[in-house]
Amino acid sequence: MQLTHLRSYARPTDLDSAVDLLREGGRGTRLMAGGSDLVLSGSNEITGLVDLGGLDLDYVEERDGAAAIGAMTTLTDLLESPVAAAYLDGVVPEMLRQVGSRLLRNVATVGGNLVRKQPWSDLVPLFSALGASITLFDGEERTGSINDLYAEAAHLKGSILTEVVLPRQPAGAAAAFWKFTRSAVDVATLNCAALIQTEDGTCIRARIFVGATPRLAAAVPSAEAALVGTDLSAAAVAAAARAAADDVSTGDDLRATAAHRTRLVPVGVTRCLEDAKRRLEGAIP
Amino acid sequence: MIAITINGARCSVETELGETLLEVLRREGLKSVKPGCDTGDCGACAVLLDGSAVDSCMVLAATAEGKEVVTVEGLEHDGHLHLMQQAMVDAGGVQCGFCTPGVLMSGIDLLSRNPDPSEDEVKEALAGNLCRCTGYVKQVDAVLAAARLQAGETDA
Repeated sequence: MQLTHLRSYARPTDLDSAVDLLREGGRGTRLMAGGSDLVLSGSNEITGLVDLGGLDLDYVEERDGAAAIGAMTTLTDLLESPVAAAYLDGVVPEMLRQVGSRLLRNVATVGGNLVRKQPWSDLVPLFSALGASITLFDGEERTGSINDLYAEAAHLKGSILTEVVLPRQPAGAAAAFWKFTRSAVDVATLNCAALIQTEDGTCIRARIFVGATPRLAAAVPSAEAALVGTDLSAAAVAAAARAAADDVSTGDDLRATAAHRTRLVPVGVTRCLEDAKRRLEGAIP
Repeated sequence: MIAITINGARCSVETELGETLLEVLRREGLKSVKPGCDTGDCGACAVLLDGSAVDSCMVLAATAEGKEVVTVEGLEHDGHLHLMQQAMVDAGGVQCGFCTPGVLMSGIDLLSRNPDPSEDEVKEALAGNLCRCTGYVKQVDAVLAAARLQAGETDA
């Protein structure tokens, strides 16, 4: 038995009840999304579960060019959704295909992945680069960026992540994702996501995130600055990659050494930017 | 107690709250569902839950309330093997057999949504099923053959 101290399990059908159950449950009560991490944790501290599966939070909708994703959407459902396929040339399914195996993706959810905040999360760098907005509910709704979500960790405790919105991107925008991993289903040894926006052939905006360093994905402002104002030539891409190699701090863990990761950083940034450029070129008739 | 449909039969199953679907299914006598790792890494415990292949070791039994579970015991129909089982046997994709139930589930999940997969798509679908014996080649062959069987084609 995995959760030996579990004494209560509830599956509310409205958000207010879910929040109440979470509060009343006290310290040992957790919200459960897909449950993969929670169940496998075998934690003795979990005495109560509030299952979010009854709240109709599994949907993927297009809203005026934006992709609105309910927190309980499984990674498989998002991967297979036509809305995700159409958003920025399918960069979201491209990332999701590299998350674990289909067996895991059939259980794990978008909201669960974001809240769990594993440093190797593949969703975090891409959704951060895309400028995702997160909606939290604790009796009232509030919306913020992924950064905001993680900044207020303490206040999260009474809140439910209900939705993620990938904003509508202007014409001339493209994104890409890259993951280096030891096997087809392992978590990232290093990952990278980039969003570029061009106007008349000039890059006017760039977002680059590198993660699993082994820390959680963070922006690389120097690499972004190396691209803005350029024509995204090979030289500009190389400058961005060099800046990232210099500025991204890496560490040792069981998957790789800091030195290995530092060698991977410019490769990941280069591949992301080249993929994004290819997508842009594909869009030009 | 949870109400769960197992291999087409509605059951009322005793379960402790903290138990996984894997434990409950095996206690109900469905020994095809194998505990390979208990960490969600090997796929030996995979079953179909409302049509999707999932590792039953990471599913809390309580969350399966009102859902449909299919295990290998439920694949045979009227004395005939499911085409995925037949294809796996014909291709020689079974050695010790421990991973096989999970592989069948992943293969069935794939063909239910992609009836004409490429070899790469089959490999992607089976990525969560670890096999120590076969080297995977014949398992991939088997799923491709099952796709052809499902489409009603004869062997070329």
